[in-house]
Amino acid sequence: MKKLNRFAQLATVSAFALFLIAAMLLTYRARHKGYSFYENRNLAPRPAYSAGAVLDGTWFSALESYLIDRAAGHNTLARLNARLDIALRRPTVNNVVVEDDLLLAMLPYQAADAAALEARSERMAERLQEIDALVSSCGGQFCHVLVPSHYAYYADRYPAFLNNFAEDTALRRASFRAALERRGVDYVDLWDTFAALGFPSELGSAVDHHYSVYGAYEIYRAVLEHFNERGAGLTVYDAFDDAQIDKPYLGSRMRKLLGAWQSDERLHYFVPRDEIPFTRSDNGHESASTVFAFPAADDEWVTYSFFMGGDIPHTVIDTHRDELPSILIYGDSFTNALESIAYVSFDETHSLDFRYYTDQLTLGEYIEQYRPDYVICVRDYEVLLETGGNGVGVDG
Amino acid sequence: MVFSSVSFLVFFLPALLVSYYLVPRRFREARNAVLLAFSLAFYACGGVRYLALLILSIAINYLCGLLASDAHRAGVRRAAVVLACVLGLGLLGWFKYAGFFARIVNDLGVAIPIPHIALPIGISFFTFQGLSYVIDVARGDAACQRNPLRVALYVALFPQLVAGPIVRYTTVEREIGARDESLDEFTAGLVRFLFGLAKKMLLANAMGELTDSVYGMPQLSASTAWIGAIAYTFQIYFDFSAYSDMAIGLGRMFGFHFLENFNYPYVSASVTEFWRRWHISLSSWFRDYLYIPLGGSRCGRVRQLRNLAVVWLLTGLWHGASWNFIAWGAWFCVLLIGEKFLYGAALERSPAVLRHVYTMLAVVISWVFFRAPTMSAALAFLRAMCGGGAGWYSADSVYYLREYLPELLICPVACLPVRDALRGMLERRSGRAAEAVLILAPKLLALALLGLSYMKLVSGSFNPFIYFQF
Repeated sequence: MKKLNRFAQLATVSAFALFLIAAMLLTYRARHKGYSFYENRNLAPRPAYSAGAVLDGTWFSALESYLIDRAAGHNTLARLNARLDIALRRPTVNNVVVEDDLLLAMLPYQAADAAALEARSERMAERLQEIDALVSSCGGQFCHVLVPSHYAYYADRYPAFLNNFAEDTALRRASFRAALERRGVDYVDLWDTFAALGFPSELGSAVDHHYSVYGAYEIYRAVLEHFNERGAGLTVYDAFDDAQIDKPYLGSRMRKLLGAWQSDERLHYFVPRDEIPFTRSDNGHESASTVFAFPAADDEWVTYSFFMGGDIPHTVIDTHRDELPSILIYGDSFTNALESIAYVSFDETHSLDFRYYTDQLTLGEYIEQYRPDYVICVRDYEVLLETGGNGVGVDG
Repeated sequence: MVFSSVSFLVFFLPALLVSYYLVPRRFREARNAVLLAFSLAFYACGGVRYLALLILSIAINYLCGLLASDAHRAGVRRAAVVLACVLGLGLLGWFKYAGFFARIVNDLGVAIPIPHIALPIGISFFTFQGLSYVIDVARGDAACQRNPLRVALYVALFPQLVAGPIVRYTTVEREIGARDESLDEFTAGLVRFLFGLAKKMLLANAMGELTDSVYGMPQLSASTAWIGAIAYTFQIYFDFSAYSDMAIGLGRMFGFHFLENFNYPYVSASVTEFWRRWHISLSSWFRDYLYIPLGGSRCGRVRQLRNLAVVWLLTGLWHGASWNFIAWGAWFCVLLIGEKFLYGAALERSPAVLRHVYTMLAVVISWVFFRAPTMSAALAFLRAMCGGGAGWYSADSVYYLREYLPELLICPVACLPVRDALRGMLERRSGRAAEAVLILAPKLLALALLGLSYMKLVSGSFNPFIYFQF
């Protein structure tokens, strides 16, 4: 037994030493890494030396953040950790609600504040009224497009002990719609469309908080039919081929789990059967004539950025069909899949994302300069009343 | 720097181990110098400016220790103790309590400026440790150490520097000069360190996340408040005892033997017993250097009450400069007085279950004062525990129970002396298999826990140590 004890001690110390050496070398090797794909964020930078920071200890805490971001096996272990948490049947992992066939956002336990929602609805409706007036004065039509957030679309899929914001959603919709109606701002609430269809799961995604291309198509159809009800005469194109990317779809929720959840969902996209040639410019520079960013062959995953190449501040797609009207679509990333379909119905499709389109034209100036025939603002319920980002007014 | 960090685990510790063990054992002072240099560097990571304070504290204790030695008259020795107390506690008072007392003076209507002073890490620990050295020398319990580097190493030794345990000089006096580093000791220390790391990373942090979520909620139902209170009860034990385990383990890796700081406190059947098992190094410090010199229990009832009140007021204040900690100390003072003078005998006669329930109830409630940011928040939390918040039940309780179910199942078991029971069981069994399990199981488990702990460390961000604030 003495021999066994000696061997066990040597083996334990050796294993620990090996762990330390490996961890040190691998961490050192990762020192140049600057971006984390899975976490979709820049890694903590190497702390800049300053006497003050060393004296008060902030330099050392920044160094720990820098090291932890580059720690040996960071992604692998984080994925393993997520996998373990899923196996332990925790209801939420990395702030994602893990159901058997669906990943949802973890929502805080906070009660809806009806008065605050009403005040915010009023403020936002006032902004939209000004935009609506400006678009009309430029000869166009404005429509605000309200899309249910992922948590609202799948509200009934939340376990009873988790908040699904159902009360907030109902109050938010009601107060905002009422405010828009009082001010005469035209809108489409996709809730009505999806409810009529019975909220089919394939319109959304199990792994991403955006709509699938099928959901995006329903939004496209609902908006165009809405304009047509007001005499627009727009063509709702329906001759698309349904294609898919044969790689696992790393949706936003799946990404938070570092791909640790089992899913065979594939990213689908629509390709028009008719050839519709177009030119495209991003941020004023000509770019490839495509609305899809195909992943490189060696990429493991495909993400929602496949549509339109992700969130780009300013894109113009010109199909050179002067007989067709033009449209300006602004909003968050929900617009990306929509734009990959909508351009087929228009001569020019302008896309702005005011989260990134800054220090250039204001929304008002843009509308006055380009005078689009249709202007739509697409926002989901979660950010509907936010005045930042794409909640800009004419001067924003 | 904390033990459960990449910088410590992956860089500091290997660098220290290599530097230390490259020095041949016969060069004891050189090994001590390496350990001291790394200990000072360890402390400097919390802010180099506080290093000067640590060195000043060491210098005070070294010089007062010289004056307190038996080479001097009794008056000089007494004066040395007084000087060490005045200077040591003066520094502690300024850095820890100046702002608090200034606010009290302002509340009393006397306008004085409130100083905003950052609390140096571990000041309460190294101040008490240094004082114990001077007092022990003056009492003749310890020999005066004339080598300043050895005093510095005693005070600044990194495993116990910032969060204890409060090591008495007499505990490590011999080992500073002559200790036996061996594979046996190193392995035992390493296993202890890895178990401590796992307690911190796998249990304390999970309970900490749960606690923070509950304490961060604007409205609490009774069910959720109880879950939060129990979670904090687990968090503080696993957090602090984990630190002590790591400190004791690291000490052993370098040949030091620190005394145990925890002895399964949550198995206690009375509050008196709880305080014999919880933060033993602090309670014994107060017992030996304050309670007994004040007269302890060998005096009239009124003086005993006074002694208990003084000790618990100061124990509360030692933990932090706020009314919460004073209330926390007062709570235990009242319970201990009750057990000593009122219902102690009745408690002893009552069924064991009842005694445990009473003790745990007292402890869980005490931690509410400890954890809540203010007295009013603590009272609101206690009110919520009694159903005076957002009712008796809310759905979030189910979420918290389900989300932290694995830890909530493991924590109560880990509070019990299961390891000792298993070890005893195996030791009673004769045979090679039992012996082999005794040899191999702790080491294999420790290495597996290292993997899990490292996984948690690099994939999570929640990693505070509660006792660092003291």
